[in-house]
Amino acid sequence: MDASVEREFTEFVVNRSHALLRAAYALTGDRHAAEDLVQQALAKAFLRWRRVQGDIEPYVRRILYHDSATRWRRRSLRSETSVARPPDVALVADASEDTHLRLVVRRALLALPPRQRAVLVLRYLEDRSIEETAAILGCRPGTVASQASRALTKLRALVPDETPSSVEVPR
Amino acid sequence: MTDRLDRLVRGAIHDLAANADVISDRDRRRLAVHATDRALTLRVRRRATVAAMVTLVTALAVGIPYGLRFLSSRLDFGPAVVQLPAGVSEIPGVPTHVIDDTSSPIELVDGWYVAGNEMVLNRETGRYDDLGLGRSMLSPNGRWVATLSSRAVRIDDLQTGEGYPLRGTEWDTMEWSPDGDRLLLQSLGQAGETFLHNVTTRLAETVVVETCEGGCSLDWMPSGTELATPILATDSDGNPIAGIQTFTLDCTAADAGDVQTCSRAAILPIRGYPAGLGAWSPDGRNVIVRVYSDVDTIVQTQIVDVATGAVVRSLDAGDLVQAQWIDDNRFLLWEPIITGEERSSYFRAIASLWTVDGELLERWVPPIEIVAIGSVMKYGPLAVRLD
Repeated sequence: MDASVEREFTEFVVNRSHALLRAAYALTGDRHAAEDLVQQALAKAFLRWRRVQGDIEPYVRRILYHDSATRWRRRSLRSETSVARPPDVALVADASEDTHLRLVVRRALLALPPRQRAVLVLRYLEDRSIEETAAILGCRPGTVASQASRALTKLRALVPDETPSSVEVPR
Repeated sequence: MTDRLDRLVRGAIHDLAANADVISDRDRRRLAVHATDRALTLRVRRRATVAAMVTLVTALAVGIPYGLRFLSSRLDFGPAVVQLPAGVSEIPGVPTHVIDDTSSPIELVDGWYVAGNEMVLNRETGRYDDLGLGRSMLSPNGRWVATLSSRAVRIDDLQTGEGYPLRGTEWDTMEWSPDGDRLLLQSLGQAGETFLHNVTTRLAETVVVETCEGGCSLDWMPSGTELATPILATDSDGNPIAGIQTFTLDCTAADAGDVQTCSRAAILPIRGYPAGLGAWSPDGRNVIVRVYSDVDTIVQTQIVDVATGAVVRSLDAGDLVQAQWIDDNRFLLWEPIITGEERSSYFRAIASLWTVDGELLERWVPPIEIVAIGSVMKYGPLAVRLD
C-alpha cells in the first residue's frame, strides 16, 4: 500500500471515525466492541481502498453493519443465554415514564439478535429505507421487513398503550 | 407501530449512539494505525489458506530423521478445564481442554497432534522446538527452507547447508507443493505472475494461467499435480465465488524448459474456499469450505459435495478455519479467535473435532506460543499424524 493511500486513509479515519463509532456503539452497546467493530471495518476497507469507486464511507458502513449482523451473531450464539421474555425491571410510573421506558427499550434493544438490531439501527439512526437496509446487510427486502417486525414485536411488549398507569413489565 | 413505540425506539437508539465517546485527534490517528495493522493481518490470514496445510506438515518433516519414541507416552489432559481463555466460550456438553504445557506434544485424536508453525514438533525429543524460521517455510519433506523477505525468496538446503536466492519478480506469497519438491510463488500485483520453482532440478517454471488477470490466488490441490483458484464472479445467489477452477500442471515445457502454459482442467461447482489441503475428505466426496458474503467476509463454514456442489452440512464454526479430515466421517477444524483483550493485535486459536453430521464433539485450546508469534496469527499446522 503506497503512502498516499495511507494518508488518505488516516484523513478519513480522523474525520469520520466518530460517526462510525456512534453507529457501532448503537449496534453493540459496548465501547470496546464498538471500537473493535469499527477497526475491523476500517481494516477491510483499507485493503480495498483503491478499488472502491466514489465515497468510501458508505462502503465502510456496509462492512460495519454486515459484520455486526454476521460475525457478532455467531459469537452471541455461544456466549449469551436466550430468554423468552425481556428481563424484569422495576417500574416507576410517574412523569418520567418515557425516560424510564427509553432505558427499558435500550436494554431490550441490546438483547435483540444482532441482525434485528442492525435493521433497527439502520432505520432509526440512519433513516434508511427497507431497500437501502437490505442492500447494506446483503439480504432481501422481505428479510429486512420480517426482522424489523420481529424486533418491534418484542419491544412492543415493553411499551404499553398511551395510559401511563397501565405500564406493566411482562413476567 | 404506535407513535410512542416509534419515538421510544428512536430515542433509545440515539441514546446509545450518543454514548460513543468523542475521541481525540490522537486517538483517531491511533485507530487508523491499528486498522492498517489489522488490514495487514487480514491479508496474511487470507493468503494463508491452502498454504497452511502445506506448512502443517512442518512437524512431520522435522521428524522424518527421528524415531517415534515419544509416542509411547500418551498424554492425559484430565477433565475439561473450567477456566477458558478470553475469547473462548463454553459450549455445554462439549469438553474443552486448555493446554498450557508445551513440553509435551499435544494430542488431539487418533494419533493427530498439534503441530506448530514456527514452533515445530520434534519427533526425536517429543518437544516443540522454536526453529527461529521467522518468515520462512519448511518444505513438507523437511529438506528445504524457503524464506520470503522484502519480496525476495531464498532457498536453503538443510541437508547440505547450501542456499541460493531466486531471481525474478517481487513475490507476495509462497506455498510448498504437497511433496515438497516445488515452490509455488505468486506476485499479486497487476502482472499477477505465477512461478513454480523446482528445488530438485532448480528448474524455473513460469506458469501462465489465463484467468488470472490482475492477479489471482492459486493454491495447490491435494494431488500436487493441479492448481486451483476460486472464480470470483457473483452467482445468482449473491455468492462471490462461482466455483473452483483447476489447472493441470502436467504440461510440457514450451520453451527451453522454463515456461509452461497450464491448461484448465475443470470447474468444480464449489462456492467457497477450501479450508486447506486437509479440507478434502479421504474418499474425495466432500470438501470443507468457507463461504463468503463478499470477498472479505466469511459467513459460514460448510461441508460441500465435491461433485455436485450441494451443501452437505453447515457448521457453526468461527469466521476462518482450516480443516483436516481424520477419516471419512470425522474432521478437525482450526478456528482462530480474536481475544477481547488483544483484539487489535493477535489471535488465539482452538482445534475442534466434528462429525460429518455437523456435531461438535470436543475442543482443544493449545498454548498461544504454539500457534501465534508476535502480532500475526500464524496459520501453522492444524495437526499432524505421527503414525
